Amino acid sequence: MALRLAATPAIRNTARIMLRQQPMGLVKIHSSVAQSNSVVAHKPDRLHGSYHWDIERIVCVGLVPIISSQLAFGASPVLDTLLGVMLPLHLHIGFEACITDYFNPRKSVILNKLMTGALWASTTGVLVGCYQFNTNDIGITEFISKMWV
Amino acid sequence: MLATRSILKTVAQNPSVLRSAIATPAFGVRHFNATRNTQAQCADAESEFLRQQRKVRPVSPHLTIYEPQITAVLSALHRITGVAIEGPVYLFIFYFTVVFYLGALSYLAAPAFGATIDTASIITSAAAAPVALKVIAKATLATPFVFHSLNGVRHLVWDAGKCLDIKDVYTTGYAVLAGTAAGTAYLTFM
Repeated sequence: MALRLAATPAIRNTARIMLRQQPMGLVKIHSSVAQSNSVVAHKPDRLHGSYHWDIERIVCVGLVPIISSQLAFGASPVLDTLLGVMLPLHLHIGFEACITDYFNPRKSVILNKLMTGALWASTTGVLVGCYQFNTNDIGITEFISKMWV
Repeated sequence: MLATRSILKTVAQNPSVLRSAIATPAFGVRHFNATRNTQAQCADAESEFLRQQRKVRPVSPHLTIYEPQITAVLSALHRITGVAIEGPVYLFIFYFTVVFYLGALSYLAAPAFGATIDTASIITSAAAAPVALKVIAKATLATPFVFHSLNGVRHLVWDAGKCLDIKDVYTTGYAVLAGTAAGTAYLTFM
């Protein structure tokens, strides 16, 4: 009889929660936001998981020698091109973290979508702009060093 | 399964999931409902009641009483300086791109449009500013940049698994602050 009892979904849910086998967020508690009763579970995928973390750290680590050599040796077209790719990436990932923290998709659905869309549009614009700036104008580093006198 | 204390607690805290399958015992269970049993409403109305109640309930002080420590303050500063640098950079490059394309389009119509926003004019107008203003502007720009870079290195050190105990966190934190002061001074007066 204990086995039949253990097969009911509610007791199974309780047992799994107690054994920490599923995240607490799956249990429906009193909530004023209308949510469907079905469990929304992400399929674990590396692109948004560990690869995202790896790319974030690689960009951060890559920025260190770029900025140091620009401070030490001044402008160069290769460094400017690299900077024009790494910097927008770094800014994008940073802003994305802020959006997830302050405009969580579960809490503020529309605002999150709005911000994410604006971020993607801006990052594309900044990437294009950096390329234009580096190609048709004097380049980011040269511009800053001229202004910094 | 036996009705142990932890199961009862879970049932009490999540009644709507488990109400359908389990008859809640009449004794020893705390119900988190907004209304008494005799006045209970449907789940959505209960949620709405709870929401209204939570809006007027007093909240314990948190930020006002917690002592600011180097851990929390530097972490907050890291994000603030990051956003502070990022916003203007995005805006400037975005603006530059827009104006560049607009200028290219209107090159045939009005040669003067967009010509005033190119880099040469910005540089000359920046160079012509008074010295005090330039020093203040350079210090204002350099401080968040240097701080964010040095604290970023500190984050990367943590990601490598080093300096994670509290003594090292404080040491590296003070090192970042000292480095920020030195770096800002160097950049402002270089």
